[in-house]
Amino acid sequence: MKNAVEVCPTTALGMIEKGALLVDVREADEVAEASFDVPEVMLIPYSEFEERFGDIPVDREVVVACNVGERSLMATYFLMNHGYEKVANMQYGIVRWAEKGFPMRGELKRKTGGCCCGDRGSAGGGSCC
Amino acid sequence: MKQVKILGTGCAKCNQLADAVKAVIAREGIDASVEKVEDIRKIMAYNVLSTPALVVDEEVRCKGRVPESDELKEMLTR
Repeated sequence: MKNAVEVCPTTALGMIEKGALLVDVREADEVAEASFDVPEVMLIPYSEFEERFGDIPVDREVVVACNVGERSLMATYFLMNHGYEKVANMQYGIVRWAEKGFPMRGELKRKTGGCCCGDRGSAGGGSCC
Repeated sequence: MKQVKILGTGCAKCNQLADAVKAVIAREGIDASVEKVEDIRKIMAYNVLSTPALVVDEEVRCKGRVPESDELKEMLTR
């Protein structure tokens, strides 16, 4: 299996400015708290990703992001497995994006990853993605 | 010998599944090797978004939850 393309938030911002689509896979409550302030962002929560990934255009450059870049890395591989070739993971997620002072709405309070375990949010502070 | 893999990035639930699987294997005397797979690239080779997942002889038998021991036994001996 090919390694996923991973880009830092600075490179991701450059890609977005040139027309790449940002796909935010954080859950609705995370997005309500703080979100990427870019002209176009597609929200597909990780918990619904398997059912809804088909909404993402195959022929477009895509940057996938989450809180710290782990759920989004899994989502990136998932897309690659489904034939998406122009997809990149944003390393370190919105946490690093915020640290860089890039455009945001709201205030980021969660500085750790979300969870890819079945019933999300139950990881209780482990190193869950 | 069955090849059993636990896919997960090391959270509490993943460890819980690994412990439960090992307990069933020991209790039932199942001839199996158990490997934990924590590398995201290797996990995604199975195309599993929801972890933990249980793989037996390269087949994904369960994902996103920790089954009860009776169900685990069935998954491990099928």
